Parts: sequence; structure tokens; C-alpha cells
Amino acid sequence: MLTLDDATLIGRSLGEPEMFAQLFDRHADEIFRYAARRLGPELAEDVVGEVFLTAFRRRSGYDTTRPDARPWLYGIATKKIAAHRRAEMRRARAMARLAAERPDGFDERSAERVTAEQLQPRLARALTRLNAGERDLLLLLAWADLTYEDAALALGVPVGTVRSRLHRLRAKVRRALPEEFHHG
Amino acid sequence: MDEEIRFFADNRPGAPPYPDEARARVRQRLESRGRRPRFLQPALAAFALTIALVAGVTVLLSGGRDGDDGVAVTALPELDPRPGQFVLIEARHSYTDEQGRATVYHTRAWQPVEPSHGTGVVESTGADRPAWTPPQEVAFGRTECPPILEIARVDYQYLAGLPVDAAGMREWLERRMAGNGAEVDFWELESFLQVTYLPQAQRRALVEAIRTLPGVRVTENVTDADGRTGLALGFVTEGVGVSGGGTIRVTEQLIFDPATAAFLGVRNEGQGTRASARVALSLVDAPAAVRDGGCLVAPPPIPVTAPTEMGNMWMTPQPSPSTTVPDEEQPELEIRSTLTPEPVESVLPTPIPESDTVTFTPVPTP
Repeated sequence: MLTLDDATLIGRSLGEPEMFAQLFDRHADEIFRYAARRLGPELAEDVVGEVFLTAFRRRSGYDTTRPDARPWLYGIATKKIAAHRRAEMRRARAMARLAAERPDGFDERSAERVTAEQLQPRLARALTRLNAGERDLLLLLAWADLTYEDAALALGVPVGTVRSRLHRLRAKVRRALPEEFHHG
Repeated sequence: MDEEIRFFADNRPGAPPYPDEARARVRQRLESRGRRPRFLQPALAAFALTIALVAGVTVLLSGGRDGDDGVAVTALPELDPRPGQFVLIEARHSYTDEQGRATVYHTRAWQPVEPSHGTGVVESTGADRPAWTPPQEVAFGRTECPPILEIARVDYQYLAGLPVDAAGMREWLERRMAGNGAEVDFWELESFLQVTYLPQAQRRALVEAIRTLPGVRVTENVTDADGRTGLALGFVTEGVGVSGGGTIRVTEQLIFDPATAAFLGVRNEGQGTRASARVALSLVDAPAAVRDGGCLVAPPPIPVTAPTEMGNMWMTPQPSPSTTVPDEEQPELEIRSTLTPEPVESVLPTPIPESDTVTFTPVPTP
């Protein structure tokens, strides 16, 4: 079967709304994984539904010159995740506490001590030092693998803003994780 | 990639797979919303369409009443669906845009009686399909559909089990039609009504329940698109369009027969006028071969006229041999009007920018 790019699918879904389900089939897993990393699997289920139902309603405003809908979907996901910011921070602080409660000698990178679905305590602690906009940008780049340009699209800001925000957040990450970035 | 970013990327936590049940729930939700724009299609399709206006053919069931102006109007029968059958719901729709250009289309919806027969299908003929629309997978002849979640069920057996009191029905409405922030998504409600037939007790409860929703305005003695007198339950929806259309204000009325609580149609004002009228209800043993993205377990489809001649389909109501109507009152199909071909028009409808923040506000008294 012919594979259509996202923009074509979205364009056609204006006349054939059921075609939108194909966009869901194509990207739901990825959006779920991203949301689950940030919020945990239960909230991530809600977020995925909200993202695609919102995207469906807004599809007439999609810029069809952009064949890849991922930045657009991640942008919507970022807003939906923001609604759960308190839950995200509770989760990050709980994970960060693991580091505080473990005295020295605890190697948090050892696979058997940190379950695969938990954020490493030190990374969680670093995340709590960032403001919401910095956290959104960092995780779109690091966990959604977006380019700077795509992250700018997702966040609805100019690329220049992304670069200056990136500069600040890198400095904060280095300060929060001195043992990782002692040379910088 | 900067090393700080890479550090987070390399240490990203794992994520469990997206659970199948959650996936099915969202997918069915999307599909049920996908049905809605079929009825809004001329307003939504942002494409130049070449539209053959098909003259409306009034199919009358015997016992049709006369409207106030003496013009014969359609009476909708009470059905007694049996397992294995499908309720065939036929409706006429029109959309007149802000420039006064009109489009007309028809829908036939087949609602299964049993849940194992799928989620039903809707066929639109007329204006709403852009010429480039690729053929959809034909959803018939399957032996099995994915399990249907309650939120997507439209089968008659399910609907016949709904509450018959207004409070119970309102609770169901709030659960089933929950919109984005709104208590009940009125468009979703219309979408549901357009493709379903409910027993009279549930219909009465539904009308009473809708009357109790916040912001609903009740108007008596309105005339529907078929000339019938009805009770209108209306909402005003206001929202800010995302594609720069400014504030959108749409008044939507659901029209019911005050005596039987039968759903007659809708009238929708704002960015043009949209109206629909349910013109026929019947029971059939198998749907016709229509194209739809849904899933339906059904006997082999009955062939229909090719799409290029779809106008004819509406001129020739198909009293399929399997049509069964309860009781002794076998309504006789009767063609009342003759076909008057109308000119082909090119129409570029205005898309309705959809809103992320729709709130329901009461309809002001004119």
C-alpha cells in the first residue's frame, strides 16, 4: 500500500476523517513513550488520547508544507504534559530522593539497582533544577530526538530562542551534575 | 549533540509499551469523531468541489402526516428490531454557505442490532466527498471485528438497555459525550443521534436529559428541513478558531418530534446554515455495499449503483427483499416527487476553524 507522508494524511483527513486514525497508528507509540518517560505510564495513557483528539480538532490548521507531523504532535504533547506539571515534578523529586537516601557507594548506573523505567536519581535531581521551558526543550532534544529546528517548531518559538534557552539549560545541567561535567 | 543533551539521551528511562486497551479506546474515539464531520463536510472540506446537486426525493411512508402548510411530510415509524437485523436510517442534509451557495447530500446509516455486528456504517452520497478521495477499504464480509468498547457502541441492543429516566440518561450522556472541558459535547451528541435509532422510552428520557443540560434552550414549534413541526433543543457554541478565524459562534438545534421524541434532524446557524432531516427508518437484513472505514460483520453486501451514478441511487429507493417492518402496518414506499436535475456548481466551502477552547453558553433570547 502506498505510504503517504503525514501532511498528505492530515490534508486528506479533512475530507476523510477516518484517515486521521492512520496518523494515530503511526505516531501513538512514540508519543506514549515520551509521555511515559516524563509522567509515568498511567498519566501517559491520558496524554496520548488528549494529544490525538486535540490534533484531530486542529488538523485544519496544520501547515501541510511540513511532511513530518512529529514536531506538531510533540508540541501538543508538551502542552498536555504541562497540565500535569505538578505530577511530573512529584515524580522527579521522588526519584531524586532515591539518590539522597543512598549513601556513597551507591552506583546509580548499575542496572540491577535502578529499574529500567526509572529516571536515574541524579538526572531527576538535575531536571528539578530546570524551569518548565528548559525541561521541555531538553527532553524534546534528548528523549524525542528532535532537531533544534523541530524543537523550535514544537515549542512555537524561533530557533534563536531555542539556542539561547539551550545555552542556559546546559549551564544549569553542568552545575547540577558536576561529577559528569567537571571539565566544563 | 551537546554533551549535556547526549547524557540525558543516553540515560533515558525505559518506557513500557502502549497498552492495547488504551490504544483501542483512543482509536475508537477518533473514529467516532471521524464520523461527525461527515455531517459537517461541506463546511469543513477546504477544497474546490464539483458538486452535482441531486434533487431531493421524498420517500413517504403511508400514514405520512400533513404539515401546517398542507404539504405532506414524513412520519417516522416505530421499529421493532430483531437480532441479526440492521436499522437503516436515511437522512437528507443541506449546507448553505455564507455566500448563499447550497449543497445537498444524503446519508444512509446502518445501525446493527447486535453488538457482534460491529459499529455500524454510514454512507454519504452527494456533495461531501472530494473527487480525489481514494476508495476506502470495504468493511463488509468480515467474520469478526475488534471488540467494541462501550464508548463506541451504537447497536440497538445496547441502546435499548439505556436508562429510561432523565437523571440516568443524563449520567450516561455525561459519560459518553464528555467533551473537552464541556460537560457534554453537543457535536458528538448530534453525531450519535444521526446514526442511531432508540426505543421510544429511551428517546423520551434522552430529550428530558438534554433539556436539563446547562445552556440548553428549548424552542417549541420549530419547523425542520422536512417541514415537520418539532421541539428544538439548542446550544450556542463559542470558541476561538486556531487558524485565525476569530470568534466562532454557532447555534445548533436538535429537533425532536414532541409527541414521540423521535429525532427529526438539526438546524445549525453560524458560518452558513446547515440542516438535516431524517426521512426514512426501516429494518433490513443486510446493509448495501458502501465504503466506510468502520468494521461490520454482515452478510455479503447488496450491490448498489456505481458512485458515478449515485444520483440514481436516491431516485430508486431500495425496498430490498429483506426489508422487514414490524406489525401489520407494512408501510408502502411511495415516490412523491419526480427528479428535477439541477445544475452542477463549483463550491469552495469555508472551513470552520476548530477550537481548542469551546465553551457552551446559553442561547440569548432574540
